[in-house]
Amino acid sequence: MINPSISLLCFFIFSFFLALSGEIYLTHLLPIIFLSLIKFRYFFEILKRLFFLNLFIILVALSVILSDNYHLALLIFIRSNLIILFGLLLFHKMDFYDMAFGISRLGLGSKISYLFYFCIRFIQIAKMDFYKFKRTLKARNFSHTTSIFAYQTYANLVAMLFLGAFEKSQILEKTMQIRGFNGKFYKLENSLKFGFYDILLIILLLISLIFKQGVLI
Amino acid sequence: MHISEGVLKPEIIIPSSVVAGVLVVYLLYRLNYKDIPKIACMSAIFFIASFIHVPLGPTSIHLILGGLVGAFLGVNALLAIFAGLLLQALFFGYGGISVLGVNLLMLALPSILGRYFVKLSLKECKYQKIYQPICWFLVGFISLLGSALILSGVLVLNGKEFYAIASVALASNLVLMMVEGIISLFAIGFIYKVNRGLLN
Repeated sequence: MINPSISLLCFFIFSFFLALSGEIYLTHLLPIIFLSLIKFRYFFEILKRLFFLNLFIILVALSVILSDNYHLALLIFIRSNLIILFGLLLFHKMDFYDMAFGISRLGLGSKISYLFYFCIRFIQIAKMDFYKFKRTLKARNFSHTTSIFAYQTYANLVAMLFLGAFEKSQILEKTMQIRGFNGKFYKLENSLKFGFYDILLIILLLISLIFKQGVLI
Repeated sequence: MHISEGVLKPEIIIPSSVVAGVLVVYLLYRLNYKDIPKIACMSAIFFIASFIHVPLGPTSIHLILGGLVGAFLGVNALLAIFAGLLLQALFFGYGGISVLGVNLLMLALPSILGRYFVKLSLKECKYQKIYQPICWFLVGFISLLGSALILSGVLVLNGKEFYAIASVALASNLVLMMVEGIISLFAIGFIYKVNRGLLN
């Protein structure tokens, strides 16, 4: 729905501005409200994810509360949650390859585009391999207990993932050489569009960062 | 082992982002195209490591595998971990963009030591059968110990309010260090038997 390149840029700007800010304003909620309306269907799913991501933040806030700095604890809690919620709303259900194109369109250079594209491709392959190994272990009645045998089995699984990945990377390297790869990353120009929602998100983000109205904390 | 968004002070976020940014740009500049597939596949394994839950008593912990990535890539592990951390931040919400620099330095710098221990384990000597497994264990253990020390150090630098969480973070990671050490010992042992050339 939102262009991945725009999503990345907006997340970068929002994260840094809020992380470096000592105060939270009501206007900071504007882009979050907008994204919540767009992703209304998945909102509770996203909130559930946010809840699990709060474990470390709650521990940090408790640590700050122990030194009687309630204002800082509240600031950290709200600031962290706003940034994480913004990111989750932006990237929820986003396709891995759209993200690779999004990164390549940022114009950071062909090496970084290439690195992310193949990283995403290898993640899919390694994920399939991992689930295949897990199913094999289940079929062989492997017991998930704390023992040296269990750790050795997991270590073998990790080693096989590494070996498989190395083999695939070598095949890819040779394929690139044969095809005369020169670092150019081709893509369908119209595959990702820049639309109304992107413009609206940028405007709301700028409003939220420029007009600091309604101090929350 | 990620520091979440919004926790750190600007005095930590800005310098760490600058240092990490400069390192990434420098490594990308001197990177050869033919090395990218290898870095990308290691990055994918670093990403997948968070799915691998190893049993520990009534609960389970997920692996990090920074040491193993460092053992195969050396300094380029920084690029692999950078890509893995960025994708984890975008798709799962672990870590984040503003703390990417801190998280990258925290996980990637100690992982480079993994390469040193692997090189050390391959040197011929009289007591190789004893020190080789120790080196392989240290690949996982030392890299995580370094990361946990940096994590606690960063939290301590963030202010006296964070002393409690800094000590909790260090203590809770002690078990994970042992598990990572054991996993790296057996995993490198397996790779050593199957394809020794990969370790060179």
